Amino acid sequence: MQDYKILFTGPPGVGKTTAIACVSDHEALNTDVANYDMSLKKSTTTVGFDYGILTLQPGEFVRLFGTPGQLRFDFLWKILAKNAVGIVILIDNSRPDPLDDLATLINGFADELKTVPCVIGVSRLENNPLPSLDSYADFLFKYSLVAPVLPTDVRRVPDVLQLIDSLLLQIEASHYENSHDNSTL
Amino acid sequence: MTTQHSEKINPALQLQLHQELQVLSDSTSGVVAVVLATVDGFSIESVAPKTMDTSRIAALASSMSAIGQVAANETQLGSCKSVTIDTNAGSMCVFAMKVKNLDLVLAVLANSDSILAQINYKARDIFERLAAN
Repeated sequence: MQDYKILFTGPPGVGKTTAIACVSDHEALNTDVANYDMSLKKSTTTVGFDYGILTLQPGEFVRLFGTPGQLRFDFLWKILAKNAVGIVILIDNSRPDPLDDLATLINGFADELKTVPCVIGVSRLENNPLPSLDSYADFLFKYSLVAPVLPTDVRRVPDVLQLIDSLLLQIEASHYENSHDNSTL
Repeated sequence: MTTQHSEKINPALQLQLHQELQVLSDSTSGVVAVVLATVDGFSIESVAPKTMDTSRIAALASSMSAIGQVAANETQLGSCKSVTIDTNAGSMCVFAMKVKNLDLVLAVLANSDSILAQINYKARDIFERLAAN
């Protein structure tokens, strides 16, 4: 039996809970409560974590954890990131400054991102084409990060699976690289 | 006095909340701080040392209460009324409550002089008075 832990993070309202619920085999756990922050146009918000599970094949599955988006819950970020083999960063292109949102998350997970692969999923691109996906790639480069940047609709199963696949490919490549390095010593 | 959330609370209720927290703090052994927050983690009112970051406590209380509710749901234990962290130096008790249609959480931080049963009793006392509003 093999399982991987993948963390979903992103600013509030980007759709972390939706993405996890969308691909989870069972009803996902969530800690959504009434939202009293009127700057967020939604009725509920995650204040603890989301949890879902996705079976890749018999005996191999991915445990999906989601963080709260608000910075005031950053004490949970590190806890939830522990032992994660990959991080999905979701960014909402309709928010006022998506690149600043990305910077906050890169800084928040700076320690993890030194060793753990990540993928960026950018949502609501259709009506908000800027920043472009290339701008995200350039922005990541400033932080010495190389990660796939993919257009994403968190309500669509294929889109969320593509993010997870992208992470698993990176993890596999990294394992292959490590084993190859060891065999040539 | 702290108000960071978007929900408006009328001044009379705000004053009553402050008085209730003060009574809880003064009349309960070992209480170090009391923070009342919205269920999504915004501090509404507090009685706490100036050095304490009550907005942080508010967010923590919100998470604790929500995780308590998930645990209760998963184990068919009904509605989560409170979550207690009992340590070698004291405790943090978080109570879920409703005041005038607002879902709130009350966090009580106490040192080792405190008695958990007394904190529970006094907190319930507040809920009853506020619910009677």
